[in-house]
Amino acid sequence: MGVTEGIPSNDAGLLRRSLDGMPAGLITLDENDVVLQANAAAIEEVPSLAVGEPFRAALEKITHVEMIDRLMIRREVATFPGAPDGPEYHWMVWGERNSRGEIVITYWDTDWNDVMNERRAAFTMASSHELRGPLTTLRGFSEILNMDTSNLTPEQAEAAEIIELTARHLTILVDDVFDLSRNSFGELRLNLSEIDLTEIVESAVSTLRAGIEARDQVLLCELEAGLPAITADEARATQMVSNLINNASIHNPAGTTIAVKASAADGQIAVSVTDDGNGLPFEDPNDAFRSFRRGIDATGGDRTGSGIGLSITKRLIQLHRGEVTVESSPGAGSCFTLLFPIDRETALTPGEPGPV
Amino acid sequence: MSRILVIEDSPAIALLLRRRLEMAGHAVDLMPNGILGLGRLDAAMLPDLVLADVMMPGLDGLATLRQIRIRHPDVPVVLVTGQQLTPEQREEADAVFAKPIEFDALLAAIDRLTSE
Repeated sequence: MGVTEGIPSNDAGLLRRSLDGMPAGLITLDENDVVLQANAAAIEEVPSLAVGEPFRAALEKITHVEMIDRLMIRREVATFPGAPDGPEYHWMVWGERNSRGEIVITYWDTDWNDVMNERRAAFTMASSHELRGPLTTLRGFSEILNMDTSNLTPEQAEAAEIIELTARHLTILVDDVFDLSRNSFGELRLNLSEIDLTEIVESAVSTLRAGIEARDQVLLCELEAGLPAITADEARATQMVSNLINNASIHNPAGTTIAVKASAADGQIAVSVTDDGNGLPFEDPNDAFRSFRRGIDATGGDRTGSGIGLSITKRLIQLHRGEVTVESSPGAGSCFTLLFPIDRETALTPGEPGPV
Repeated sequence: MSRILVIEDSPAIALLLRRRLEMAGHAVDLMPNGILGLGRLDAAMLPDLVLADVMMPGLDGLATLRQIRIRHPDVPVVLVTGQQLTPEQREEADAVFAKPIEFDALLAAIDRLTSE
């Protein structure tokens, strides 16, 4: 091809010098986890490591078996020093084994990780703030426009209404992206207090009712009397319930009936949102909880949303040690149910080993 | 009707605040940053309430709020913010509103704080 002219792509010496110049450790293992190669940093800072020797045996001299399993079997980032009393590193297995069964292990300084995390946090905060400024203006002025549409043509009034609805939707998206970023770094936390779910559901229903009725949909609310108080995060509980009601409205056509119910059974309070609309466009309804996973739109209709909201809701209910379930069939609607444990102290998060 | 000093560096958001507050019957004085806002408080008749943005160049909203607490402890201060504040920071203000602003709630808070 000639495109590599001037770039000594086959210069193994240069590649080797480059790897040796890295401050991070780079180790290649063969199919039996014997060390094939290690760069200068790894040889220097991990004295037990030797080319031609088993990698696990080298690690067993510097850390315990659980940590090695975490790295090699669970393929998670493991943190331990390269030498007894040496500085700690984050270790990670990169990708999958190649066709020859070889695999690459790297480690890097924990300080870099802090620097990267700080930068990421600063970036998320800054971008959230930067987005909220224009969003405030867009939403605020569209609200003013919609206060009195008597001098607008019907087309102009419709445009003004769509701008306001879109600005509201964009607000939810910005919040969700921010939450997702915090969640991926384990920073999503609950602000727990004694709360009354009845009040929360009623307030979410009353906030969303006008928008839903404007889409010619019906919103029903049927709450069991005397539900016990639970320990939960009030704002997050509102967010979860609103997310389910909003989804039921946004993803379904005019004429859909949305029923919100709350009842207590088996040590849990169930808040369900049922609709008689399209049903979820997934073979497995649980795919709805995956970020950025949106179904193919059968109706060609109004598909707003990124799929982030539901994945956040799933994470939030897990943090409450509850769960969210879904039932759906094409053309027969969907039912999402949030299960809040009444006694959070004794509840374990499904799918997780327990309180951390 | 209350007299409200709005301290906000973004011209578009400042105009939005002016419009919504005036539509609700309030008299609005606008200042683009904390320093000028504090100068206004010293020079003119005290407003019934100060509404300040948090992230501003120079003296930010929290620093401005602390100065107002020292110089004019009777003036209620409401913050509007596009960023997350810590619980301690939220405690310092009479009320905090996230951007985008829910105006019904903001106007209700202004009525409550100015009638006390």
